[in-house]
Amino acid sequence: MKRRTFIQRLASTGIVLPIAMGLPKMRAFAKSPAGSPFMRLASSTNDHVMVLIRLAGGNDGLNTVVPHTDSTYYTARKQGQADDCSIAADTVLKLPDHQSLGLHPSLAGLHELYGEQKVAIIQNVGYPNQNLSHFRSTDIWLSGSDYNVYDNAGWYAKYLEEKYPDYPSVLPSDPFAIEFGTFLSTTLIGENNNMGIALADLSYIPGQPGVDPVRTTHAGDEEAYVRSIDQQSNIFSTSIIAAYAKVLANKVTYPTQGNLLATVLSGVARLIAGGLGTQFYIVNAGGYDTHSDQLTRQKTLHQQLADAVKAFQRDMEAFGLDQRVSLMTISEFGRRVASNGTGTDHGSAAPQFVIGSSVNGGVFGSDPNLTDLESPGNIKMQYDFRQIYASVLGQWYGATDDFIAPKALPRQFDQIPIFKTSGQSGVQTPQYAGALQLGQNFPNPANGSTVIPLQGVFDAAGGRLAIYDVDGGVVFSQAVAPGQAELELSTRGMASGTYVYELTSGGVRRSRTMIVSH
Amino acid sequence: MDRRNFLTIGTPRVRSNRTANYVGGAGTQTLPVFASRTAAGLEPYSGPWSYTQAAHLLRRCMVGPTEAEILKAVSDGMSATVDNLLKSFTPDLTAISDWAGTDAVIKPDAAPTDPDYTTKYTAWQTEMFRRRAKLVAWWQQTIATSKVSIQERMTLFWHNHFTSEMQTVNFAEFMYTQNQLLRTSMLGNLKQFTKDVSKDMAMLIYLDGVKNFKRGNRVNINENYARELQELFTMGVTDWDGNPNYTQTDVSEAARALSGWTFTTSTQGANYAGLSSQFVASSWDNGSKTFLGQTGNWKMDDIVDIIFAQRGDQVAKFVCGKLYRAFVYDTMDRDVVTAMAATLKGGNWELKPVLDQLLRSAHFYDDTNIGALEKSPVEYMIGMIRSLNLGSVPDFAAQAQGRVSQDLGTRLTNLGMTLLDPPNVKGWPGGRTWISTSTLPQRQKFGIDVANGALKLQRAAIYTLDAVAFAKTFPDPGDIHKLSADMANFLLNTPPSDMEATTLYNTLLDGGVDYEWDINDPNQNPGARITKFLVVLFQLAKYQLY
Repeated sequence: MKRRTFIQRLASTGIVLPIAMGLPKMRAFAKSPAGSPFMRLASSTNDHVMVLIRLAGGNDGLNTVVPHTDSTYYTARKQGQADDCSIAADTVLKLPDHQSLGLHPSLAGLHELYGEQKVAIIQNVGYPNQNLSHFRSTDIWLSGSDYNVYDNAGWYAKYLEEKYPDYPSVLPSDPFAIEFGTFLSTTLIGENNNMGIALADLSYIPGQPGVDPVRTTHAGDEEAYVRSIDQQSNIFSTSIIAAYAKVLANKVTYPTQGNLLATVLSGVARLIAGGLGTQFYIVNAGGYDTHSDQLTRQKTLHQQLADAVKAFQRDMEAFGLDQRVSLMTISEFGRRVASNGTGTDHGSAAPQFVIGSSVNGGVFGSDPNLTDLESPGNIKMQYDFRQIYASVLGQWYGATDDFIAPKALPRQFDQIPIFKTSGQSGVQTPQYAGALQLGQNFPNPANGSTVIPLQGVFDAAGGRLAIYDVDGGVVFSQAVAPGQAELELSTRGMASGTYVYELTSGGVRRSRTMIVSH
Repeated sequence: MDRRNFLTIGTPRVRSNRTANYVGGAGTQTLPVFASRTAAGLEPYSGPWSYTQAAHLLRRCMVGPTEAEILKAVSDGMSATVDNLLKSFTPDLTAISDWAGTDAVIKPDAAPTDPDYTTKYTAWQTEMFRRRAKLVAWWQQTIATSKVSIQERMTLFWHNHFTSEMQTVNFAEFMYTQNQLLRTSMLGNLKQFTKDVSKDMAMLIYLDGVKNFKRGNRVNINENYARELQELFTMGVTDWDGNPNYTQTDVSEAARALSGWTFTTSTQGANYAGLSSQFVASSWDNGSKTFLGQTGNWKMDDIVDIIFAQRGDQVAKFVCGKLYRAFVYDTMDRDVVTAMAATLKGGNWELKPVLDQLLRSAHFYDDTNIGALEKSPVEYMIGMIRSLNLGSVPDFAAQAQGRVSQDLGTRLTNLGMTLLDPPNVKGWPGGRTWISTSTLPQRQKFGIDVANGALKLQRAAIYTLDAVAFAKTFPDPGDIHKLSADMANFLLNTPPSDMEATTLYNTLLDGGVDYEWDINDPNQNPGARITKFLVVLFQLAKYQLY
């Protein structure tokens, strides 16, 4: 259908209109703090995004944040010998406010951001009774479980399950979380449902789900599983493609030469800038299992990480999104203090990074103690990794304690003041016009009529809500009054498909996607 | 409107805890969860022998059996078919005969100051990449042209058990040698197999065995292989009840005993020649070690012997559990795996009796297990190629001339499975992880493209399906009812539901009338009708299973 015809048809059906009066159920939801209307009541929310970078294999913390004034480090790493695995003190990038520490010379991009107080380094992160198996320790990190608990569901997925108890009876238009790669990590697998999607390629064509019941056999169980994946891939692919297509280019140039991490992060940046409502991304980077050829491999790995992260941060700043987007790293363990000759074997505690403009930059924790080790020669933990998770949920997503434990995490963990945001309110720093919130329309997909929750339209001039089709054409535009809490409209004239709706007020924009299905 | 009912997608599937065993990424090391057991155990199967059972046996033991092979298995009977499947065959080595089995190519020994060094080095590197691509292409071709034998399935199984990544090993020559070891040992003695693979050059490189040595005062004891040998190759971290099978001390002590194995020849630095390894006593940690409670001056073979002697039950259950998940269902039946383990351990670690017993058992042919496995990318793509008689295709050869965006190797990689390069030492997690929101649409699109003849390589069409010839491999292509049912039964894991069968039949009929159907009448365009039928069928969830 031509756009003009489409709009004419919309007009003839008389899309309605400002404030819904006759839908008490929906109004009740629209009064909840903000965000998606089927969210569990009393949970606050915001539009913050976290990008989690997993450094798979066990990143060597000592050659990342180097204790370059500690002679024990140089002895253990055989400085000056044929199989030297240390980073020389005169090459490290010293931290301006922390003279005993320096970053690996390939981490120049991170060092630059650190100087702008946009990097938090959390030292000696681990968990009690460190397991030295990649697989077991990865499971623990990805799930958030204790060392002796075999949990098949992950911390973020369980948080989402608490927050969105109606999922998947009611589906959001945008995926809650996206993992780049072919498969989904435990972090995004809940007790009852997958709470995120795996995404490797934006160019596929989804197929059609079946409808008739499956048999009650093992084969029938598996068939039901495949069908559910089919359904998910159909719904979300349209909204992702719409967001991706909305922003045609990044605002900075990303490194390309063999830096897959940078390529993926540039895609994440476009999805965020395109208004996708997804608030959690997982990006996987491998190769950190440096049993051998450590120095050579670390040089490349650190370079790629720092370059990619810096480009992403600068891109977010250029888009004006940096206040609501952060990155964090995880890795299943650090490495042995002593060298094995050409590398290091599996260790335990190690530093992790949280990066972004809303981060309290600096070093949390003490320098690694290399004389008081745990068997077989590993650094003792100071922070439990779940303290970082709890801080992310509490400070970054504004989750109250009852959403943090006992479901998402096994119990409460002391939070670390990583973020500038205050937490519970979900409202950001004062200079940030973060009060403006755009909720997920309900019902979604819309069939006939739908309600869009609004919050924070305080600008005296009010605002405007517009709906775009996937080609960027405006199909609906409506003024919004100051303080208006919701807007109801008819979707009868709109063709089935995905639309982006955008709220503008006081120079700030918020957008989400909705699905119309007849 | 009640918002709960607003968008009903059927009863949301509540995943039991067991399903998370499949979760991917870095894999999991969880305690096993067992499926509710069926009445059928390992006792010999005595039910009917029909197309259903014959197709099930061949689908599980081969990659993409053809209609003709299934019909032959129906007439041969179960016993003769199992006998036949357990035989090995010698693959055609023509495509790699110029180098397979010869020593690795040595890096040019000229000094970097040599004006010709860059040229020599580039030539060496080009040859390395050529051989690696050739080896992958060769294996793909071998699977696609396999005889009626369990050999390629077993080789894939062991490749996913005794894993090595070619991108780490670097040398195709060593990976070829390892692949041959997996092939010749596939139904041999597990204990001997474990010893052999421990000394395999690719394995020694992959898990740092060659860097595990003690020479005088220079102590480079590297725990990498010692840990994975125990954790992933033999007994697992814990037994089924969660009791640890070994400690960190056992890893450290085993690492000492495993030291001293290295290249046969090393002309310089990191350059290798001979295909077999050797034990160098002066590089071995000569001294007393205590491993799994046993004290002695152990070497590599002793460590394997001790594992099988001290943790025999755990090893048998661990390996049989993996076999069960590869050949029966991804969630184990505790009693059946226990019985398989008894056969393995009681038979002094011979593997063939375990498979022989399983493939003739009532449990294997239980209706609940038929069609209950997710196809891996190799099973899906190469299986489609083989079962549709697409045979040898230019795609394989093209890959060896340098990776192109559309070759089969790239397609398999996009689906998460690069042959000879598993994601990590634990291998592909398999099961449900194969099917994700990323892979499923790509899988479906591949089938659609194959059916439509839409795949091109360097502008030439590949995988061109002769739809009419394919239809004529079925017993009664002149009867559209039978043809529709037969093609569906051949291509799907289990018979289609009534709704699916009706949809498929109507697609094949495509507005025509059944009594006029004539597959030899070009005016009816039977090829286009069959193609449409396949497009619909390839999008059914059942087609992802086997």
